[in-house]
Amino acid sequence: MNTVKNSVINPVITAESLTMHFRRCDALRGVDLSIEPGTVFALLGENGAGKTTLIRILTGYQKPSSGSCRVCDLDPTRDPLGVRRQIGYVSDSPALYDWMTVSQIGGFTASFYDDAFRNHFNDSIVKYEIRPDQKIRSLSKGQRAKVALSLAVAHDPALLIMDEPTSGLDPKVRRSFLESMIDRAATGRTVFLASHQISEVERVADTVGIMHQGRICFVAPLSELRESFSEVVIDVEDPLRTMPPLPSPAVVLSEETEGRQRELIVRHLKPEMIAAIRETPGVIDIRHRVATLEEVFIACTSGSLSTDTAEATA
Amino acid sequence: MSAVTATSKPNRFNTWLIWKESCHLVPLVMALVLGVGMLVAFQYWMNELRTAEFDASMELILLVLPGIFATGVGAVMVGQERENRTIDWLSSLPITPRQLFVTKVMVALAGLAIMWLIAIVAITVLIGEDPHVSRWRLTNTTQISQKLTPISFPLWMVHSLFVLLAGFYAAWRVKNQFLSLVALLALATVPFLASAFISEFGSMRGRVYPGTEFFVWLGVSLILIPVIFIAGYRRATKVLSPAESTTLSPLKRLQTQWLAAEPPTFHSSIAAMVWQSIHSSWFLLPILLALVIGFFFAGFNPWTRIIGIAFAGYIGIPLAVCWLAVSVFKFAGTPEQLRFLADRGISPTKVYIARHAVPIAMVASGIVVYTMIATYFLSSSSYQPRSHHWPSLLQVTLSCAGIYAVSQWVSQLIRTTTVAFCLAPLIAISATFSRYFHFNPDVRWQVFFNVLTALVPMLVTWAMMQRYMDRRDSPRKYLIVPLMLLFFGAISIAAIFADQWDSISKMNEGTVAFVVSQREALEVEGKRLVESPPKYVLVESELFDDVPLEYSGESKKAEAKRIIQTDSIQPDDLLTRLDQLRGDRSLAAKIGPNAWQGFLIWATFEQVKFKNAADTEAFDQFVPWIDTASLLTESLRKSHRWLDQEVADRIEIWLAGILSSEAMKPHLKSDVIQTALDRLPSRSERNRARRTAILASWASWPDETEDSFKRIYRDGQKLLSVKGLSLGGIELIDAESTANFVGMSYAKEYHIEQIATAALAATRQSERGQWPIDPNRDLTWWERELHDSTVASVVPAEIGPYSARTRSLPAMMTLMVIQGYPGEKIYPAQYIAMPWEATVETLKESKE
Repeated sequence: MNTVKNSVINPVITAESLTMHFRRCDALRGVDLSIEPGTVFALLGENGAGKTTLIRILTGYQKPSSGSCRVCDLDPTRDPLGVRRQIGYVSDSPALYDWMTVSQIGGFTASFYDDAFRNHFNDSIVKYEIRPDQKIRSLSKGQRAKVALSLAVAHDPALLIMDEPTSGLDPKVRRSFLESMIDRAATGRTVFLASHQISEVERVADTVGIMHQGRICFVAPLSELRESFSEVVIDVEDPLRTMPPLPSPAVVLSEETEGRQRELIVRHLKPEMIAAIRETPGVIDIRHRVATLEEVFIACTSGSLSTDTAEATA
Repeated sequence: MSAVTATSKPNRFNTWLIWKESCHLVPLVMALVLGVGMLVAFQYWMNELRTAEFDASMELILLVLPGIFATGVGAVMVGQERENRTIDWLSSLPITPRQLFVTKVMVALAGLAIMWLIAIVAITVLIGEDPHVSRWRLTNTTQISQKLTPISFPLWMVHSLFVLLAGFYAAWRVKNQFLSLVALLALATVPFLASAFISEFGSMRGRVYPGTEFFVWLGVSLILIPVIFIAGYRRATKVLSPAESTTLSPLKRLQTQWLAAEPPTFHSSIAAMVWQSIHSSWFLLPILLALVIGFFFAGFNPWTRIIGIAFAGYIGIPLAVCWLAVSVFKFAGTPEQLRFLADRGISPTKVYIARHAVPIAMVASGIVVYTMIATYFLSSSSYQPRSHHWPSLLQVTLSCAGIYAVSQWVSQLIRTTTVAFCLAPLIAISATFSRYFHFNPDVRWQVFFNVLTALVPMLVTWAMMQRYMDRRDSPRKYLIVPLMLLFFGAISIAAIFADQWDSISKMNEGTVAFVVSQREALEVEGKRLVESPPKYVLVESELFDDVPLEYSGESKKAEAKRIIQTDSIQPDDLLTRLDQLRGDRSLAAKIGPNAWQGFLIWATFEQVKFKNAADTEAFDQFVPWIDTASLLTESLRKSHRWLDQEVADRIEIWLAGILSSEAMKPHLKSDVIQTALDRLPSRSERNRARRTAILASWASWPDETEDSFKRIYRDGQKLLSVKGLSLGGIELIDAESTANFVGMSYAKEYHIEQIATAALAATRQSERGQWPIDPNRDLTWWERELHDSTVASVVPAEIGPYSARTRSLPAMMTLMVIQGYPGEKIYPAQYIAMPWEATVETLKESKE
């Protein structure tokens, strides 16, 4: 394994006001991002949120319409090859040469990297129980994903970028795979993970970003996220009666009414706010708990509040 | 940041990359070698005889290897990677665009060099050196309109290099493999078009220097090679660099609006699939356009003569039909795309019909356009079309059906888009046109065979449709390949037999028995004759060698004036080696084309002088011509070469004419005339000599010394040199037809048999003394057979050289009309069994 050479803390990825206009849509609408090294960063977002476009820009496949970004201290638009040498990339549907055998594709890819690549690749293949003489075209979807992942990490990149990496993997492999991500972060490497598998993100991510309609709604460490988001359920006498807004710094991400019950996802909820609500006329009862990541994700990406709250929470 | 050392080796000589790129080429190379190998085997199978045309077609087939390789390699190495998106994964590796581009081009160049090596070795081994000119000369020496045999290797090497690089450029420029192939074809024709326009420009100014077009072709290719290389590199760099954000061009906006239009309400699933087929394959429209243009230029119309790109018709039509058919199982017709329909349980038959609907409609539209254009030109009073330039509607329909059916089968068979698009034209056009030399729309069996050839591949793909859609067709479809090849071979053989059977069925029982007996005679008597040839004396004339080829009216007048002013010319001045013939009466004469025609023209001129004078002195001056004519007749009748018998017939006709004339009556008792009459053969001697020569020529065909010749003739502003099919020294097929079909294979040996047996039947009729004079009688089978075999198809049998009308005229009259200089066509056995033979008999009897 290569060693960490530089201990200066510079963000591995930075993005400033990235926008991307395609022919019929705006894929990115001003993305700002900063990812610290040695973290597992998970980018959550619904389909079409702009995750893949962001990754394509970060990996140097696409020039943004405006804004700038740096990956491993390199500008991917100016030096895409430099970026690709530093990173490992697994796309959502990796197109491998299906006429090659597993061993051949390893040997072929190894020719672009140092001599250790092949050994690492072979170890990885053995770990995933894939026969080296198998043709790529005869592999199952999950096995292909394993090969693609092995190819992406065999040169021990400083940054591993993955777009929906675990789709097609069985639970056992998924767990092992996710654990390897944590191991990578522990050795100073950075993992950038785009996914909508919230459970796996919760398991491995240090930092979570939620993307919605080309914007990043918020970025926060997972621990902070867990602490700062709460689900509040209020039982009221009259559902039509208006509730006074929560005082600052609380931010309501979503609000749903069902019968006499109101459910809110709130960020920065303070105990005194609970007490104040309880004292509000017409309130029968109030319960609150820490919101799950899934509830936060749904709150951020749905409902009329999501766009407004994006500004406030980011 | 905590940078991790991920060392890479982007710039070293990467053997794995070379290996990967080489592996990419394997399917293309294998398919090409297999396809060309099959074509070569097919050629050997279909043609027992190794004629010059066979060599030319073999050379062309073998040059397909580097040609199609150069065309397809860019699409395979780049287009396929782009279509399969493996280029995305590849470019995620630390590899520079330059390294990727250069590696791909270098591997392709190595492949092209290997293809050329295979082609050259195969040509050298299978064909050998060209006896006339080296294939390694830089350019051809005459115009492009002349047939390119042998092909100048350096020119084609340069051109193939240009095509290869253009292929890379097109593949980097256009993501869609098919469209990039179309773009490549347009680019590949640039050097040719440049040379054609230069040629046309030169012709308009009256200055065309031999070889100019080839130098232009070569020069333009050499200039374009670095240009296209740099353009390809720049394009590759752009594709492999981060993509720019794009804006919608007006054209794209229009297309988007069209595509975004609300779909209609469909009343059947087939209608929905046809709609999907049209919208997914919008690029078929340019092909339709090419199809129409192709048909437009197909005929020999005035515009193609001006522009000089008639090849667009001959190449464009089959190619357009072929690619339309290939599109059936490509693009939206691939198993991956059809999976959507398969998953929804749509019937394979419905999918099959829907996929074929649009391409078939386009081919049908093309045929309709062709019919309209052909009808216009054929009915145009200002234009004299030739029917073989405008094939019949039935013939065009069956050709298109055959090409279409085979192509769509190839498309279903071969998964790789580019390989299918490259290989399908080769297979489909070869499989279809191999039967066309036996095609006769009047023979129902021939039509049936062509329909069958179109129907069977269509049924095969239909039968495979379910498996194809479910992607489980692999083992079975490859098992069908040999069966299909056997089928194509069997159909070709059946077509030949049907053609023969048709000829036989027109004969009565006696004729059939006669033909069969002549085949047996060929085996026994013919071979014996070939083994025991007579001792020949070659009679030539040097006097005509310096006569200009372009024999204009002015030069004719000058030549006639010179002849009239000549005091006296004797046969010995005109013809060589007459002394030898006089000295040894057992010798056989072999006469050169200039000699016999010159002799007849001069003798006729002397005859006019004699008739005008009609005195003893004039007779004395004229007598040597009669003596020589009879000597030639006697000697030529001993020859085993058919041409000499034809010449002997013509000289006898001349002798019969002069000896039976009023002017000659006072001199018939003279010794010279008596000797001349003695030398003339009896009916049985004449027919025996004819039969001997026909059998010997047939048995020894093709005799390289006698049957290999180039005919030079003038066509408008151009001098054309064409190799014709010949037998016993006689040119048999209309020179222009031969020119159009040179390189195509067909059973010439059968053609030769038709002519030989018909001529033998003529000698039999002559032997029986049946010399019909009724101009309104029906043609005998052998007259019709000879007409069909030797006369251009535009001439109806009723007014042709074998017609009752022509053969009822005095032979001397038709001889002088047909006669000309330089040699006009000899129709074999044209003067056999005609009344002049009776005249000769009467003259001989009068002597006795």
